[in-house]
Amino acid sequence: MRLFAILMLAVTTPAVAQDPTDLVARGVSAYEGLELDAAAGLFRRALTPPLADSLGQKEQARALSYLGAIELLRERRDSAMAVFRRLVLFDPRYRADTYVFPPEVTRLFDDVRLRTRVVAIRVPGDTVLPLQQGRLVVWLFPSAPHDVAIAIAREDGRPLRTLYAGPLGDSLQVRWDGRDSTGALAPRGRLWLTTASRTGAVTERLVQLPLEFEVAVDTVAHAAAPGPGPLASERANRRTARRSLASGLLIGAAAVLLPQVVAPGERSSGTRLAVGGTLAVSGLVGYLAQPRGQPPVVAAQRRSQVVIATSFRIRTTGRTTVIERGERAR
Amino acid sequence: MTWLIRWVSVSFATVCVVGPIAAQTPFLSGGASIVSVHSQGVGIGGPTRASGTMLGGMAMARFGRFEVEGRYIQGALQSQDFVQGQLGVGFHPVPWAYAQTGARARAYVTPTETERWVMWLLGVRVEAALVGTTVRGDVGLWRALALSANVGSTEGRAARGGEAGVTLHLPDRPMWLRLAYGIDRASVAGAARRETVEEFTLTVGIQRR
Repeated sequence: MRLFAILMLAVTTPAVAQDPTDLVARGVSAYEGLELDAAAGLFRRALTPPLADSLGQKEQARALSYLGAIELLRERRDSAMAVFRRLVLFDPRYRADTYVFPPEVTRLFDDVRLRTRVVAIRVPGDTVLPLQQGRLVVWLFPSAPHDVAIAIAREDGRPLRTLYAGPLGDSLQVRWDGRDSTGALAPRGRLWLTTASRTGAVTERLVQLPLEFEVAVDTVAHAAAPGPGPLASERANRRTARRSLASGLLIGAAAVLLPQVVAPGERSSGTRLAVGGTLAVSGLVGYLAQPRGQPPVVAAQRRSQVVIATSFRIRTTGRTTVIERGERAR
Repeated sequence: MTWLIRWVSVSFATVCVVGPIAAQTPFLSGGASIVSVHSQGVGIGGPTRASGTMLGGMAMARFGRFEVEGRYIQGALQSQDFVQGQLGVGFHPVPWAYAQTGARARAYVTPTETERWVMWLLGVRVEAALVGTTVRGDVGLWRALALSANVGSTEGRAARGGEAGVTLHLPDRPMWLRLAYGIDRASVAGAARRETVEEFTLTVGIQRR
């Protein structure tokens, strides 16, 4: 029995001592009892990896705020500023609680926050959106109002699409339709959502969030019923081809005849013939380049194999990283 | 009457543009042009002909069905300088048709004087796909709702014009090329003046959404 009790103590005591939530709670008690050195030790232990990794975001931010306050009260102002800076970078939305901390602490925190310009990004962890109307909604929260540029970048860092560039006040919602700046679908695979905090033309800090971009494809469920005639598909293609030819010839003729309509009697230059000829030739090329069409049975068989892009999926694949000016990206 | 027409044009442009600008993601396009200009004039001094090759540019922003477009060309027309700018707003009621209104200002500058022609336009344009979505053709006609020119008289002012062109959109590239022919005639009967200007334009552009 005695041996069992000794074994239980041996197992449970280190576990309790290494529980970061417990360390934070004990640190708060020590702070309230003005045992500042002991409190600082407890918070530092709780915030040191790997213990810090098992601490929730709220708890980590709380621990950092207490640690910063303790360092200031211990008259270590530089150390307090470094802790508050770490807190702002960790959670740009955090605000010091004026009911908990004395005014000199909240003042110093606000001072550090206003000088440490960084943006918090909020996006859905995993979302599937329709290709036509879908938009990824991104919320941005700055530590303090400043100029930002938000963009989607390729895996190698090359920009794909700028979503917003300008001042960011309290918060901002931007939307992305899964396309690049030319309107084409973004490439599948790893992308970056980046926000650059800028002072003038200088990028002070970059926040990056890794995204995985996938395009879902689907097959056409059922072949459409054949048209009224046995050669409906051929007729449709030929109609399109004839329309191209007719449009080219008509617009080309209109170009040639424009002077007679607009300025009859004037001697017009021959340049209109170049444009009219190009239009007519384009129509002819459109006519000849049109697919000839397949027999309806073959078309129906193949139609079930046609794949079309229907939706895109975006999921976050990691945490945001903050890159300071001068640091090498990724 | 002229002021009424201008007011209606400006109001239409404002209504067309302001609301959609706030609601839509713009589709932007711009390009640089080389323009061959041929001008024929009839005046008190008899008929005149001049031609020149000039540089220009255009920029366009589309918000859904609405469009704002600006164009500018400048260069030498033999012994005189030629400057032309145009700003218009338009609406696509259907994908293949486009209605536009706007103002076109043109100046012939010589060492002794500057002759200005300002036209308020209303026009339509039709477009058609010629080779898939890669090559498109278009033709349009416009008429001047109002015209002012410092040529000594305000009697019998009229202007009209048209343009036809073919545009090649490079596949998988944001670039485009356009070849266009445009002609317009503006006249002030009271001053016995008539100006016909032909433009042959090659534009290289880039688009972005």
